[in-house]
Amino acid sequence: MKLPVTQLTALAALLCATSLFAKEELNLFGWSEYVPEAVLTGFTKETGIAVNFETFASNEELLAKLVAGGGNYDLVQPSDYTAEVMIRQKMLAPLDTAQIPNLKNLAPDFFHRPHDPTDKYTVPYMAGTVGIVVNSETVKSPISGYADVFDKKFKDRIVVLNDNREIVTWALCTLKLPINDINPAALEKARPVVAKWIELIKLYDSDSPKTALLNGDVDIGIVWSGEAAILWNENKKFHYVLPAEGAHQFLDLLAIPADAKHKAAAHQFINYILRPEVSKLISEKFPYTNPNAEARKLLSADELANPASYPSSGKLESFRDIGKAAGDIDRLMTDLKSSR
Amino acid sequence: MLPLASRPVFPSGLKLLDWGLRSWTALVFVFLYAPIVVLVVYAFNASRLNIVWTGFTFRWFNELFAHAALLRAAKNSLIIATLTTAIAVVLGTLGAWLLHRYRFRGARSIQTLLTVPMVMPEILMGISLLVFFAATGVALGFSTVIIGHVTFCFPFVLVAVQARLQGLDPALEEAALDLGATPLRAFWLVIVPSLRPAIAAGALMAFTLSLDELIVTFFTTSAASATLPIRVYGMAKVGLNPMLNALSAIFIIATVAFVLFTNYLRKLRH
Repeated sequence: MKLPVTQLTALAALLCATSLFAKEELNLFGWSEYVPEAVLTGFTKETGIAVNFETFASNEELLAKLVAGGGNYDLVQPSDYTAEVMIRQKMLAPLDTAQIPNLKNLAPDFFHRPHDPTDKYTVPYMAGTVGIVVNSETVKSPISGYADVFDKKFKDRIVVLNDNREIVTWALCTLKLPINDINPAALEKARPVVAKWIELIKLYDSDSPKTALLNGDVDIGIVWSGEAAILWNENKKFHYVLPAEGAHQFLDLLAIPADAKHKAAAHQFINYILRPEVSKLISEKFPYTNPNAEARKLLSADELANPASYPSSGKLESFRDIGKAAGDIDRLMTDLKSSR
Repeated sequence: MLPLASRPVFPSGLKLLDWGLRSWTALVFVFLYAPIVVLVVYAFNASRLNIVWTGFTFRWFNELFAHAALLRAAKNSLIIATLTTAIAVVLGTLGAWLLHRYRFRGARSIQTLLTVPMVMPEILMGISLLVFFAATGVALGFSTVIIGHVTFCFPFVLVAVQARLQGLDPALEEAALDLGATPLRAFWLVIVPSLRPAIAAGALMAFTLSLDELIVTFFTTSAASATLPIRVYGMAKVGLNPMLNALSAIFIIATVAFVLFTNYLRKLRH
C-alpha cells in the first residue's frame, strides 16, 4: 500500500504548528455542549484569550481524568457533590473574589451551599432539580409527591431516571430519613419501599426520559428538570411538580484546579459568564434554573413561566459525597431489580 | 472464491427450505438496515425530538455546517483514524513478517503479549496510558491519542496478515532470492503484494476501531484533538438532536459512495 507521504508530512507539520502558536489561552473542561458556542467566541473576541473546550460526559469521567494527572485544565465544570470531593482532596484552587466582581449578580440562595460552605472554591453555573412530570391529559388525579406517583393505578405507566442513588433517595424522602446519611439500617428501611416501586416502573432512562412521555409510552415520570422543561416547551400538558417529600437540587459549578496554569484567564472567564447578558445566552439554550438573578430579569415571560426551570418553592436538598456507601446503594438496587 | 458458474446450484427439491432461508436472509437485512434508514430519514425531520414526523427540512444540515466544534471533532476523528491506520498497517505487517519468517528467543512471548491490547478493557488501557503520559511529561494531544489507538489497532492488522502468511508458499520468496532479489526487494515485490487482501482487511478494521473509540481517546486527548465520539457522547447531558442524524447520514452516504466507487473501479479493471 502506498501512502501519500507528502500529505502526511504536511498534516504532521500542521498539527505541530497549532500547538506552537499558543499565546494566551484557557483550557476549559466541561460538559459537551453545555457552554454555548456564542459564549466561547464572545469571550475570545473580547479578551483575545483562546478557549480550548474539552468535554466529558459524566462527573466520574472528569474526576478519573484529573486524578490520573491528565490535562492542564484552567477551569472545570463539576457538579456539587463532585466538587465536594475535589475540595476535600485539595484539587481546587481558592478563588480570588476581587477578580470576580460579577458575583454580586447571583441570587443569595446560591451561596453557602453544603459542598463549599464558604464559597471559597466554586461558582454556580446552572442548577436543576429532580421532580415529577405529569401528562395532565391522561393523569387526572392530583399528584404532589413520590407516594402519588408510585400508585398501583400507574403500574407500567412510569418512567424514572436510571440512577440508583436517585431512586433510593426518593425512598428515603418518603420515609422522612436524611438523604445523605446512608447506613445499613436506613437502606434496610428503604428496601421494601423500593421493592414495591420497582414492580410499577416501566422504564429506566437517564438520557432521554422525555421520549417515552412524548410518544405516550408512559404518563408520569420522575426526571431531570431540564427534560421536563423541554417537555413543557413542546406541549403545555406536561406539568412539573416538585415532590412534597423533598426534591434533589443539583448545581453545576465552575472551579479552578489547583495546578491551573492560566488562573487569571480562568477568573476572567468566570466573571464574563456571570454577566447578565452572557448568562442569558446560556439560559436560552438550556432551560435549567439560572442562579444569576440579574440574568433572570432579562428572560422572557414565557421562559420564566416554565415550571420546570423555575419551580414554585419546595423542600430542596443537595447530594453530598457519600463515599463507599454508593456501592451499598448499587448492591441494593441490583438485588431488587434482578429479583423482580 | 469459486467463479459463479461453477458454484453448486440450489437443489430444486428443497423449495420450502429455500424459501425459508430467503426470508430469513431478508429479515436479517431488515434488522441490520431498518434502523439506519430510520436514522437517515429523521435527519430531515422538522421536529427537534426524534419521535414524531412533523415535516421535511434541511435545517439540521445547515445547523451542522454552522457547528464549528462538531465539524472540527469530525475532522479530528478522520485525521486520527487515517494516521492510526497508516502506522498500524506498517507495524502490523512488519511484525507479522518478523514473527512468521524468523525464529528468535522470546518470539512466543511476544506473540502472547500482542493479544493483550486486544482483550484488555479500554478503561484500564486509557487510565494506564494517561498515567504514563502524565509521569513522563508528554503533553496530551493528537500524538498521544494516535499512540493510544495504534496500541490496540495494530495487533488486528498483525493477526490478519499472520493468517495470510500461514497459507503463503515459502517457495515464492525462495524463488525471488534465487533470481537475485535482495531480501528487502523480495519482501517488497513478492510478499507484500500477495499480502494485500489481508493488509486491506486489517487496515479497515484499524480504521473502524479508531474512528469509534471512546474511552482510550477520552483519557489521552486534549481539547484540540477531541474526536467525534467524545463530543457526541457528552451531548446526552443537554439532549441529543437531529444534527447528529444529519451527521450520521453524511457518514453513511459517504461510505456507500465509497463502496460503489471501488466496485466501479474493480469492474473497469476487468
